[in-house]
Amino acid sequence: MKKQIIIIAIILINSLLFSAGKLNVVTTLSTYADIVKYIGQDKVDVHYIVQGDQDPHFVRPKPSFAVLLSKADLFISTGLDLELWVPSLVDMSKNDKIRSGQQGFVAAYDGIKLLDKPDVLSRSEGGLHIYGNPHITTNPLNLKIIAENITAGLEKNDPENSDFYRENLKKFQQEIDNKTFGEELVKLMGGALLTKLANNGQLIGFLEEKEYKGKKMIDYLGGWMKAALPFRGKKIVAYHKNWIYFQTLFGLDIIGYVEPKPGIPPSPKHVEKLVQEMRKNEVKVLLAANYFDENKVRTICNKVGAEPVIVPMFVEGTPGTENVFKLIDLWISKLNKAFAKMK
Amino acid sequence: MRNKILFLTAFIFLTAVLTFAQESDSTKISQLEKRIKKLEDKLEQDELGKLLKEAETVANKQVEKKEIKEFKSGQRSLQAINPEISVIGDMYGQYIANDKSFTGDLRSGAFFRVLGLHFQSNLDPFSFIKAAIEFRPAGFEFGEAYMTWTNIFPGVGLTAGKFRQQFGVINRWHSHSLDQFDFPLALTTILGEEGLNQTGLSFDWIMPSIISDANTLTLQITDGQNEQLFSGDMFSFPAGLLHLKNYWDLSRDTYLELGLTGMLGKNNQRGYDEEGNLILENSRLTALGGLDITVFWEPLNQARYHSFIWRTELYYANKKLMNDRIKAFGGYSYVEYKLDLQWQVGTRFDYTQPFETNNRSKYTWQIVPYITWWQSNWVKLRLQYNYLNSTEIPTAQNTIRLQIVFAAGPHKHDRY
Repeated sequence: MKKQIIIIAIILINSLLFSAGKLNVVTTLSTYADIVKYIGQDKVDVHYIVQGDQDPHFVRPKPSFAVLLSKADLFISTGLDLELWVPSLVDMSKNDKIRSGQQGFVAAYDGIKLLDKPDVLSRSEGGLHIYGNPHITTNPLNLKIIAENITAGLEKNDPENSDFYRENLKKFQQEIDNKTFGEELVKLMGGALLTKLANNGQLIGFLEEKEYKGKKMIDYLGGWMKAALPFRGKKIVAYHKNWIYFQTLFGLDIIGYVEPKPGIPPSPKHVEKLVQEMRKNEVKVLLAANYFDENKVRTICNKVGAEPVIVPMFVEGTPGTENVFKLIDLWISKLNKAFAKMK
Repeated sequence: MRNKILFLTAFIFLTAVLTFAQESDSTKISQLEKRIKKLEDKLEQDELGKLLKEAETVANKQVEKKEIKEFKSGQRSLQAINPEISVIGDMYGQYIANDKSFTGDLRSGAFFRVLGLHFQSNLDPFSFIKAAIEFRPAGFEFGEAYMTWTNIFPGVGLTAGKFRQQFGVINRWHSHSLDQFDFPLALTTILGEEGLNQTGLSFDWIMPSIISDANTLTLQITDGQNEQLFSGDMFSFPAGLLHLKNYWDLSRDTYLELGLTGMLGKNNQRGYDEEGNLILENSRLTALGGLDITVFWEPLNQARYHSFIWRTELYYANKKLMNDRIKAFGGYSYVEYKLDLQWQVGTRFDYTQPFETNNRSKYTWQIVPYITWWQSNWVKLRLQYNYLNSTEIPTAQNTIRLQIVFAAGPHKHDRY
C-alpha cells in the first residue's frame, strides 16, 4: 500500500513538474490551437474556446473560460471583430498579461491582407466587420502568416526554445506550400513566389500561359490548387460571407448568400429570390458551415436540385478534421464530390 | 621462334594501340555527353530563371496611380478614439383589462420606457470605463458609471463608481436586456423599484476553482443610497454585499450556476432633514439574503437556433425599524426555450410578500408568459401577458404588452 502511495506521489509530482515547464496557451479557435500544437509540440499546453463546429461570432463568455484564461501565458485570438466576446472574458480572467498589446497576446490576423473591407460603416449592411472580413482561416496561405504570428508569441514568452519553434514554423510553412501547390511546383518556383502569385490572383493564368521543359507549367501544379481546378470559376451559393478567402484563392464564383446581409436572418422573400437566382444561373452547389441551419440549406437545395456542402469551419468540427491539412482536404473533396454529382 | 616473338609483339602493340584509340574515343564521347548535359542544365536554369523573373514581375505588378499629392492633417479628426457609444431604445404599448382607475404608465396606452446612452472605453493600459445614461419620460436618470482596474492583485479586479449590484443575477442587468419586459415582482418589491444600484467599490476575485469549475467572490462596499433598504441620503454608513458564484460545466452544452448573496447595511437616519432639524436615530440593521440557480442548455453547434434556460432567484429581507421589523420573502422562476433563429418563448412565475410589517398572510403573485421575436441581433419585439393577483387587490390584473427594443451602435450584451 505504502509503495503504491509513493508511486502515485512520484507520478503526481512528476506530472506537475513536467507541466510546469510548459507554456500555457489558450486560443479562441481550434484551428489556431492546431497550429500552436504543430509549432510548440511538447513545449506547450493548448486549450481552445470555440469548438470546431461552433459559430465564433456568438460565444457565451462563461466563467470556466475565464478560469482557463486566468492561467494562460499566451492568448491567441483573431484580433478583429469576429470574437466580440473576448474583451469581457479577458476582463473576467483578471489576467493583464494577455490583454491587447501585452506580451501574452497574439492577434492572428496581423500581416494578412484583409478582404471585403466595408465601404460604408452602417448596420444597414447587417453584421458588418469594420476592419474587413475576419474569416481568415479559410485560405491555407493565410495559415502561414498566422503560424508566423503564433511563433512570434511563443518566442516572446519562451525565448529559450526560439530555435525549436522557428524550425517547426519552417516545416509548417513548407507543408502548407507543398499541400497547396504540390511539391514539384514548389521545388521549381519556391513557396514564397507561388504564394505571391496566388494571392494576387495571377497564379493559374501564369501557369497556363508559361511552359517549362516543353511542358505547360500548369501541368506541374499539384496539391489543393490542382484538386480545386475542377470547380474553379464555378458558380455557387453560400450561407454566410465566411468563405471569401477560400473563394479568392480557389476561384469559386459565389453569386449569392442565404443570409441577405451578414447576420440577418433570411426572410421567405429573400430565399425565394435566391432560389430564382440559383435556377437562372444553374447553381448546383450550396456551401455552408455546419453551425448554420441545415434544414434551411437542404430546403433550398431541394427546391433547385442542388447539392448541399455542409462542412466545419474549424479543426475538429467533425470527425476526420483533426488538423488543418485534413480540414482543407475535406472542404475540397466535398466540393469536388458535389460538383461531380451534379454533372 | 623469333618470328613468333616478333608476331606476338606486333599483335600486342596493335591491340594496345587499338584499345587506346577506343578508350580515347569513349572518353571523348563521355566528355562530350557531360558538356551537353551541362549546356542543357544551363539552358534549363536560364529557362527557369527567366520564368521565375517573369513570375516575380507578374506577382509584383501593381497599377501605378499618378496623383498630385495632397497633405492632410488628422489633429482635429480623432473621433476614432472616442468611447464606443450605443443608443438603446425601449418602448411599448400596453392594454390593461381593468384600467379604469389607473393613471400614468399604469393605464392602457403607448409609452417610451427609456432611451439609453451607453459608453465604454479603455482609459489607459490598466483600466476602462462603462457608463449608462438613461432618458425617461419622467426625466434624466444617471444609470451607471464606473471604472474598472482589471487586476489590482493577482486575480482581483476593482470597480469604482455607481453600478447595479451583484445581488443574484438579474439585478445586475438593465431593463432592456431582461428576458421579460419587466423585473420580477420580488426584486422590485424587496430591493426597491429600480433594484440595487448604489455608489461604491466592488472587488471581484476569480478564486481558485475548488468545488466547481469556476468560483468568483464579489465584495461590494457601497453607500446605502437605497431608501427602501438603507438610510438613503440621511446617513453615510456603508452597506456591504458578498456574492459567491459557483459554476459547473455539466456537459459541452449545459452549465449550472449557483449563487449565494448576503448583504448588510444600516437604515437608521443620522443627519439634518430638509427643515434643518438634526435627526439622530439609534443604529438599525437591514440584512438581505439571496439565492440564485441557473441551468442553461445550448447545443454549441446550433447555438443560434436552440437553447433552454431555467433560472430561479429567491430574495429575503429583514429590516429593523424603530419599533418593529419588516421581514419579506419573494422569488421568481422562469423557463425559456429558443425555438429557432428568431423566436423565443417563456414563462415566469413571481411571488412576493409586500415590503411592510405584519405581512405574514399577504402576498402577490404573477404569471408572465411571453414570446420574443428577434428581427436581427439589434432589434427585438416581445409580446407579454401579465396575470397578477394579490391578497391586497380586489380583482386580478390582466396586462398585455408589446415591447420594441433596439440597439444602435456597437452595443453587445455580455451575458452568458
